[in-house]
Amino acid sequence: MTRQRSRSAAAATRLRVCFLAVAIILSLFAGRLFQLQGIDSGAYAAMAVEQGSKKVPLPAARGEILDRNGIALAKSVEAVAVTADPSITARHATKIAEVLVGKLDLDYFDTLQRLSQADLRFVYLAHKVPTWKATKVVNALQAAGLSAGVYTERDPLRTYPGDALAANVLGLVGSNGDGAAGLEQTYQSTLAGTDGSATYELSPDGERIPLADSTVTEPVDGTSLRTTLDRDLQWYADRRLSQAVTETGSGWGVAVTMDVQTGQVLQLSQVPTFDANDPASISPSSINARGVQIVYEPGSVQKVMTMAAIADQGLVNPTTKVVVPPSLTIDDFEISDSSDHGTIHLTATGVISKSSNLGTILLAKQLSDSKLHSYLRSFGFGTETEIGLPGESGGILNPPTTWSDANHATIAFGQGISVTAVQMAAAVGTIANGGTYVQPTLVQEFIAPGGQVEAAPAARTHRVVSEGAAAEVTEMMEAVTRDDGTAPLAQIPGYRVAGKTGTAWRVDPETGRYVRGENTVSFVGFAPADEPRFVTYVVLDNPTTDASGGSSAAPVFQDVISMALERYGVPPTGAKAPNTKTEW
Amino acid sequence: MTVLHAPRVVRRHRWADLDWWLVIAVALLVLIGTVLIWSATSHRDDLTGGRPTAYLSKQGVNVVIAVTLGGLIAATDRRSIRVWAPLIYIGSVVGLLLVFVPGVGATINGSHSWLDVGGLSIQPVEFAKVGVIVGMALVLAERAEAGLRSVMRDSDLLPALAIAAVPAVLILAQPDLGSLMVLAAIVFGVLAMAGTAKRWLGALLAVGVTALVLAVAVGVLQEYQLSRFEAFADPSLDPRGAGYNTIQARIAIGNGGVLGQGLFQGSQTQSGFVPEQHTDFIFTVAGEELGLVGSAAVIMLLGVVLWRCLRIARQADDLFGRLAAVGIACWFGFQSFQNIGMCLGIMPVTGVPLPFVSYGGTSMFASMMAVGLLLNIRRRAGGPTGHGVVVRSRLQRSRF
Repeated sequence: MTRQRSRSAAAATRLRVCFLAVAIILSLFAGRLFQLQGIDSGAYAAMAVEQGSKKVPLPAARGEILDRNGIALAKSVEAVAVTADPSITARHATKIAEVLVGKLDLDYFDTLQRLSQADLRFVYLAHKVPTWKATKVVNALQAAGLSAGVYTERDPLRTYPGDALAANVLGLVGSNGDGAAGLEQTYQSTLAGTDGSATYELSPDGERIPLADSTVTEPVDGTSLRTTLDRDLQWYADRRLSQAVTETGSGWGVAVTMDVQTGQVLQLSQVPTFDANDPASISPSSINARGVQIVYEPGSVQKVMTMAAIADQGLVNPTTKVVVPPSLTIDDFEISDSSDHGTIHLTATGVISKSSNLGTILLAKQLSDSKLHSYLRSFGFGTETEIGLPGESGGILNPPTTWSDANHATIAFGQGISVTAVQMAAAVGTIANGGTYVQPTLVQEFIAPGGQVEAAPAARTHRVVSEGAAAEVTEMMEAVTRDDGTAPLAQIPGYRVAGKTGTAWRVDPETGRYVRGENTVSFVGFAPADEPRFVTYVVLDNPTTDASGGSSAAPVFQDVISMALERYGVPPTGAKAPNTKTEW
Repeated sequence: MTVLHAPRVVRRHRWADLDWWLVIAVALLVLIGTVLIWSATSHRDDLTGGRPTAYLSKQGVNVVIAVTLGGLIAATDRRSIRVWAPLIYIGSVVGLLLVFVPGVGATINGSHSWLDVGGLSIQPVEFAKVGVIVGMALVLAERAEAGLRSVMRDSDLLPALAIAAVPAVLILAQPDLGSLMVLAAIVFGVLAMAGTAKRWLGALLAVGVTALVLAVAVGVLQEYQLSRFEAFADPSLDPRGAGYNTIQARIAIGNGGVLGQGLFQGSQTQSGFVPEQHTDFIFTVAGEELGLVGSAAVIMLLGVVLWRCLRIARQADDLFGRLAAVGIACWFGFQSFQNIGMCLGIMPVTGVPLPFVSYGGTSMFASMMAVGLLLNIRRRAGGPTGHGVVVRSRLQRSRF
């Protein structure tokens, strides 16, 4: 009885315990639910979104780079990257790899290893696969039932139809799709446009869920550049320069042609160069834009600017008489002309046409250090042209306060000053343009994806010397291409050609000292001399043969500017070149 | 001597006999469950064969059959129940045996737990839960009543345990760890309610824990079961393997927030990230699509069911009814705890369905049979307050 009662009581108690247990468990659940859904909800929701969706970039089509006539020099072609979700592909990695390796040019073991990383959810298998090829691959995978976990995404391919043509101006696009050199780099943001993206919901096996929520941000395609380059002239100049560099055994060469009135650069060639379509051709020495990045001492072509400065001061004219001694000693340096002579009597024209260092020094003595310096600055030396290529150098023009008499003397004939080829072309272009400097430019206009055209900022201009001074220097320069000048090879039948040769001592970039026997030879000129249209400048660095500006650079000049005159229908003026006396 | 009070039977309207709290709570759970199953499967062409309502209609048929079964049991005469009880028990044991017979038994998900009967897949273990409850209740009640007692003696312990042992061994052989744990909870609850002495209860607990430890140590547990436990301890150990279910379940529930994403709108659910979501992980659908509000409602409804179970146990006019009701309470209670607990990441993953909510015919049949039994017990014990037959016992007077 008592035992039963107590057991009965125990049963009642136990029932109460049951109720209590239920209450506790329910509270536990409530608490946990509140924690998961009330407090941590945001974090879990974020995990859910991250897991259930895939954000796919929709690359904007990169703008084209066109030549001045609208011909593509750089363009993007549709291609895809083949990617995989290894967490899905790992199971059939060997089979998938077999199919892929057969269709794409891939390494079997490398591909297998990528496909097998089961703890990853994304790997690239191949980049820049042409779409037709990718379609074949996908079809083959689907036929074999292996397509799960293998995807393609847009991966436009940048191609350069001209291969190495103007490569150093155009630059290239790196593996990340960003411009890594040249105009591609400078105008990266313009060309690239804005990538869009699409976010798709994915099922656990990685397939896109049809009709499920997706957000698409349309890409904004890049803007195209219409450059000032002339593809055909560029091609010809590339070839002609390359030939000259090979013939003379030069280390490098640059040739640039500019419209003297607008500053538009029609061609900018260099050797060595590279082909962005062929990665193997790319090396640090070939990829730079030498025309604006590499500085060198210009030598005698610099006399043109010196003479223009003196003429602008009214201190010289083409017939000004100069008595040139065999040599001069300045600050204990003995300076002589390139060929020995006794005391000779040259006109200012003769100083230019015979390229007399001593004559130039004597005439330039009339200008103070600061005067000469300010003229040279005005011609664009010592400062970047801002032509729009990355890594441009401003050259080296020391401030006049540091000049010695020897500096003044040598700078006058082009030693002790360092320039870039484009700087020099623009400086001589100033003479051709009647004394007004025009900033060199490479880009004419921007063409938006919709076709809207926006002109590039106008070239900056400023007067450097008077028209009269420019005309006088032009007259002197015409004597250079005469039969008795230093560059008769620059003559163009029917046209009047003004020019100047240069043979500079070459500075060893390592030691900073002149190297005996090593020169930088060049020729700069413009035509027609009486109505200048183009200036062309050709530089050959460190030729191994006995090359000079007149013998090696002038023929390149002659060929390139002849083609420019012909292409742009510049008629010969028919006027006779002045036969200004060079001696007295 | 014990004075056994004869129940004073008062005539009542038969609808008033129904425990409306229980009926409505169960009906709501079934309704919510069916909609959640629909939502979880409508996008799963791999399951539905392209017919979004395939699972909706299948579960609908299951419910109709189950309600019929439950109704029959509820309407059965009180005396007949005790006659049917041994048949239910024996039938379930036979079923558990049949799963090992080639051609009849089917292996699904690495476990011999299914019977393939004419295209119908049946899990005998669900019936075994009912079988053990009524079997133990019957043995204990018969032996107590034979001695004119209202509680059990120590000597009743072994026969009662024997009743449970047969199906337990068969379930272990399948193996189905989750169901075995549910069975253990039932046995413990029934014995405790029957008045087993504390020392025996303590001993049973000790044996159970030791058995679990031994099972782990000796390797009776399959590797996947062990890895589930490890994954429970730290889901990030193997986020794509054993811990996957746990993590996905938690993400889905967490993603629901307070108000949920809306039916058919849960991104995790509609994407099918949670494995076995329409069966074992159905609670995560409620979590994601109905939010804190909806999942708390499911828990509350289950709480109402448990409350009514225990209340019916308290009011039962005989030991059989009381023990059966407690057994059912332990079954529903532990299984809900186990199921929701694993969805919430506070219990390891074991494949037991959420009563009334999860997809599955057998589970629904067995649960509804239990509800029928509860209503049957209740009908005998008396209706709502004021109409009740009063059994004067100490148990009756205790207020909860």
